[in-house]
Amino acid sequence: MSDSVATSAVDTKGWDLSIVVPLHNEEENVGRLHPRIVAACDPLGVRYEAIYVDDGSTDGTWAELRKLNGGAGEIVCAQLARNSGQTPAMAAGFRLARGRIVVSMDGDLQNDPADIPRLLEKCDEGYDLVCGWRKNRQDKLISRKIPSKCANWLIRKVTGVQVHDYGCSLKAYRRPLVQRMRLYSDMHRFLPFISQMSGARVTELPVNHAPRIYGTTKYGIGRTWKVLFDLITLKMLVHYSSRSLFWFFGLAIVPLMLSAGFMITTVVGGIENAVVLFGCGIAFGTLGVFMLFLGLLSGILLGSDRREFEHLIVREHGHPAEAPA
Amino acid sequence: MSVELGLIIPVSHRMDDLGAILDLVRTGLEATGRTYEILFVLDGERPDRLEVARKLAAGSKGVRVLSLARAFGEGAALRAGVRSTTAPILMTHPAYFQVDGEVIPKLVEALDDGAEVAFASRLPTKESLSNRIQRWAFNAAIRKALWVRYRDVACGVRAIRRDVLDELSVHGSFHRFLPVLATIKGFQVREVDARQHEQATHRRVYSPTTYLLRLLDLVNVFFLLRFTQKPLRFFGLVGGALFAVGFAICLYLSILKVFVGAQLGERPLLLLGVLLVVLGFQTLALGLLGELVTFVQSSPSKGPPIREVLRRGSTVDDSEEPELSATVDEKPL
Repeated sequence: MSDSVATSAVDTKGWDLSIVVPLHNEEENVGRLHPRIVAACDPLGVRYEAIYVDDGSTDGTWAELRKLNGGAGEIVCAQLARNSGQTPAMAAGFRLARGRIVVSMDGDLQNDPADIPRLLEKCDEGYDLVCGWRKNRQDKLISRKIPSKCANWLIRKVTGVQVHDYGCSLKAYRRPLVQRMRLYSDMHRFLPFISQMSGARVTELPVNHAPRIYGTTKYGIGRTWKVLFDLITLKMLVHYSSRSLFWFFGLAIVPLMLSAGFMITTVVGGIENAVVLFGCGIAFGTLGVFMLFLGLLSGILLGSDRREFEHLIVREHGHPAEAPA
Repeated sequence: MSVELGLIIPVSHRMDDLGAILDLVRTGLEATGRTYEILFVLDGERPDRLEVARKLAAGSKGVRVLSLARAFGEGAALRAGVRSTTAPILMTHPAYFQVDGEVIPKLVEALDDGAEVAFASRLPTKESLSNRIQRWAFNAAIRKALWVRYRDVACGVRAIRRDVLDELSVHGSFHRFLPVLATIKGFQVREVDARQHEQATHRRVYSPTTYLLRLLDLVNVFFLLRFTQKPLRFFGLVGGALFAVGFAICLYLSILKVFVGAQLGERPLLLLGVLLVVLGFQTLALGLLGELVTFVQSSPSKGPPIREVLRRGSTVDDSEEPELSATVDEKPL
């Protein structure tokens, strides 16, 4: 069933857990993180791998990764050809992942690997995605926590996915889910929403959070406007990509009604000063028609999408022993 | 027989004596001590040029002549040349004099030294003022718009590794910005100083259309680099601003209407407000359409190219020393 997934060439038999850690300039943290992952995963007695993705670091991160050692699991270090950003780096790690369950986390020691066993437990309760929730977040209030709170509230309102903390990287997924999602640009923030698009069962779990000790943060307050536009995009993609004409028709209704209103006012109110009012009517009218035409164009576009339903999770019933794929 | 260097000379509108150009690049290529081939790619099949190029090819080894059946431009000629050679290192040289041939071995050395793209950069010379102003303006525009600092990216003498070129999708006339594109995408790019050729100093004036085309190219590159992945961030910002201004105007007029009882039909300002709202909305909608394009092009298996993967076997299975497995070079997707 998952033959369409590009990584099916990788041997996936018998792997229970993959931990994916994207890293960008975290030389001081890498060496400290790995022992903690080992300490959390070795006692589980599962076959696991730790996948470190060096996202074009300019410091000694790659050299540190080469030195990593120890633990019962396999260590996989991938170096991206150049800096690509957190979401693409994560996607690269997902591509390499072989485990039945994939856990993603930050490499800055703010996420605690000790939470991994609990995430796995929750996943085994039948969820496709378990999101970490940094209940006691250890970051600066003004520059990090407040913007994050606002963003989370907005995302919850718009998407309707009831997860408290969209920004937390510590998450556990079933592998078929991560390898079906379309990850590009800055999509990692919206993973719960994108997962829902695949039909995934999503839940959350409070996790530990520690202040950053080494290295510098890669985020700032300047990204909030980007979140807003990305959100509009996703809203459109998730709910309307299968009937885009309908959606653009919805956008056309308001201008068309305004147009009618202006024109009726002109006619009823007599022809004195009709130019301005009638002009407004024409302007809104063209906007409405323009929207409809865009809707038709979007139909052509979506029609050319060969992978239209590839992201959907398809479950087979009647084989209870098999993990849903 | 495969060669190590493939040097492509696109022959388009502007050209000097091709025989002299051939001598110049051949001297440079011989100095590298590698096997090479030289490709003249004619942009369109003008009989006189074809004649000249054929004679050159007949008279010397390692020279090939290609021609595009119709004139498609210098960029198309370059791409045709790239496709028809198998050399792992590609070089380009214009069909006219730009810099001395001694820069060619230096460019190849730069690639050996770890650079992925190397280009010749003309040192200041006693050129005519108008030429210098033109070059300064072009490079200054690139610095301002794309935040990439080079002295002279316009020089057409370049060397690039084939795999790098495959990954940079260079279409249209974007080859002019190749070093800039490569820099922004994170490749190792090196600028190699070169003395300007003594015959390259004559004064050049192009048609206004050419300047306009360059400007549009620059705008295009800027937009594609910054917003290909997220078109709504661009259209949304512009459209949102237009919409906000228009909305503010309409709001102001509505307040006047309600509280002062003004006749809106007498205010052309209303038309401006409405038009801004309309334009803003259209811009936003175009951004959404752009996002649909990006989404349709994305795929679950797509990701950035991975340079190297190391695997250290789990200590459960074997008690050997942890070893580094062979590196895997994955093809860019």
